Amino acid sequence: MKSLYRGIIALILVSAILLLSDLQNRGRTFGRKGSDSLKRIVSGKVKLALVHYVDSPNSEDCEKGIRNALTENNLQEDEDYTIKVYNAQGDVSTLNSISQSIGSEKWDLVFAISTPSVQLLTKKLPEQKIIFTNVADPVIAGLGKSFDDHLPNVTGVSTMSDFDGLIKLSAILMPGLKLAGTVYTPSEINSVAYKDYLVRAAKKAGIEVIAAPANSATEVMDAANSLVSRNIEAFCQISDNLVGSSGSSIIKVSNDNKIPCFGFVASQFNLGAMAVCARDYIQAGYEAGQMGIEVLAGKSPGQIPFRYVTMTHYRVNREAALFFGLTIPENLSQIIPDVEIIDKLNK
Amino acid sequence: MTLLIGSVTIGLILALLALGIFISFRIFDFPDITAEGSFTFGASITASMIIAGFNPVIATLAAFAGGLLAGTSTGIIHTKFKVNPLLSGILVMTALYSVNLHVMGKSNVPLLSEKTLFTWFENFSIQVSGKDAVFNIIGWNVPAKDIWTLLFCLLIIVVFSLILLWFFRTNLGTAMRATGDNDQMIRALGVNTKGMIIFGVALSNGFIALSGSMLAQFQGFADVQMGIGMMVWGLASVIIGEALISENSLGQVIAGAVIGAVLFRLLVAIALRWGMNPNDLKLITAAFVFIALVLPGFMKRTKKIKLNRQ
Repeated sequence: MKSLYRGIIALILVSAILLLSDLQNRGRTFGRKGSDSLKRIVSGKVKLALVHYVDSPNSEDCEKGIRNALTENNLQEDEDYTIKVYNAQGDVSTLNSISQSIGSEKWDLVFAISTPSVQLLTKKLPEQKIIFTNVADPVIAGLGKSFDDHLPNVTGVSTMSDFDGLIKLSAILMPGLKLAGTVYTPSEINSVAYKDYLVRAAKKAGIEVIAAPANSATEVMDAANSLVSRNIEAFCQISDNLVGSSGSSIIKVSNDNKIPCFGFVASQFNLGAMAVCARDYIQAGYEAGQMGIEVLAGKSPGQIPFRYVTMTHYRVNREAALFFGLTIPENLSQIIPDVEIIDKLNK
Repeated sequence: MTLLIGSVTIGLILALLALGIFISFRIFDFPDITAEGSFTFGASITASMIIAGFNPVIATLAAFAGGLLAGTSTGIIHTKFKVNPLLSGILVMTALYSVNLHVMGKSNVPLLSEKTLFTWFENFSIQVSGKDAVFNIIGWNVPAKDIWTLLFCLLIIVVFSLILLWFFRTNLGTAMRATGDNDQMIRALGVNTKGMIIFGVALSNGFIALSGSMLAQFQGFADVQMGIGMMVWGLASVIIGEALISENSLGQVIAGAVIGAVLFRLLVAIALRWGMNPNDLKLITAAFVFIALVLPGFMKRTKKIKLNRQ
């Protein structure tokens, strides 16, 4: 029995340390009505938290955008606001601990980046005002019935890709394109939705898209190769967390087999994709940041509808076009006004 | 205080996982990787059933049954087809990935507004203590529903620990423990060790699936990737518990696994609360586990040195 005491003492000890770190919250009642956030904005520092689910270039860009929005509204970090950044590093149990940690303090606003973060935070903290971004479809994620009719404490920016835009761009650059392929991740809800939307958008333009599944970084290249063996004429690569971090293997397969790759994220372009029609994740973060300012100024998140990120970049790589033997039509910039044609990548 | 209570609640939910891993690793000495699949399997069964309108209790018990099934397959692959235990676990875990996607129909099922076990606990709290009731615990104000949720989780884990303790003291349970300790001896006594292993791995995965099911209901969604890394956490909890409680009596070892799981979540909560660089989180958790493992032995040694000097 004696040795069981050691375990119990360790438990008590660690709990005491935790309570000591939490001392500042002693005596605080848990707010029901969040009307004092407005007072705080006038009287002093705003307390913000930001939760990443996983490290990825997209979520880092979102964070950058949120910070830009705050700076643009003349808010200086440490003077006007403090922001605490959490990252679950892809682990759901850590994400639960993070939501507990957030729930134990009072925040004026919490930014949730990626679907699991916002799902968990809205479930655990129904009183907390939450702004999300880097979420493809907030309705599928269960955050509301529609973009206008949603949970009262949450709003944000959806980063759904512009599928029609990319299909249009690839059809211009590759007239006669009939069969395209994409790698997708069945375990990511965004990825499956994106794949379905892409297939639908392509069908309208008379292009068939076949999809190959990959579940881990090592499988991405195999999946891309399997598409090549099924004689696709181009990759129309959707973006998700997995492809975001191992997209270079698809570009490699694309270059090795001289099959051009059209993509949805700017980072794919920098890796050597033929052309992209990219949602700008910095812009997504920026718009989420602007929503955050509105909420801090007193607007209820329930009154702000969800919306899609507004900015899309079209970029075409002339060097890659030469490599793949494609011609960029002279009048491209007339068909798509804001297209950027880049002669050489500065790597 | 809410942080403490929340962390202990998660710790208790994951203690079921630790108990499962304790059964396969410690009782049977069977390195079972099925855990990462069956954890998600439990979550996906419960989530899909709750969405389909089943009673949460039935959905939770179905998750337990699903775990039993997953463990049985691992056990059969190992004993009947003579596949290495690690490999049979990997096979079933890999297969479960696809099964989970089929069970849920997609990779993520939100339970944000569904009735789960935890909504019951909250309703109970509303009935007993009133809506938005707050308890004052040595100066901290804690929502009553958090306390009730914690108490219910504690009750569940105590009940399951006692069942496990009782079970391992029955004739069947003793034969199972003996299978892990010395299978030649127990075979000589006429016990079917293959059956014991299958049953043990099944039981282990039943507990793991139950843990996954509870976590999904607690956090409000099931995700096909939620099992990733769970085996490592569970194993770490079991080993921390063992390091702290260095005795062999069955009851204490089971208590050790539960304490280890709770302790582990508390350590993660401290790392988070101190606001360390998020990129260092895993490094810090690893350092904590290392200290928790080394400290008891170190204390023993210094005690010995002191005694020797005297």
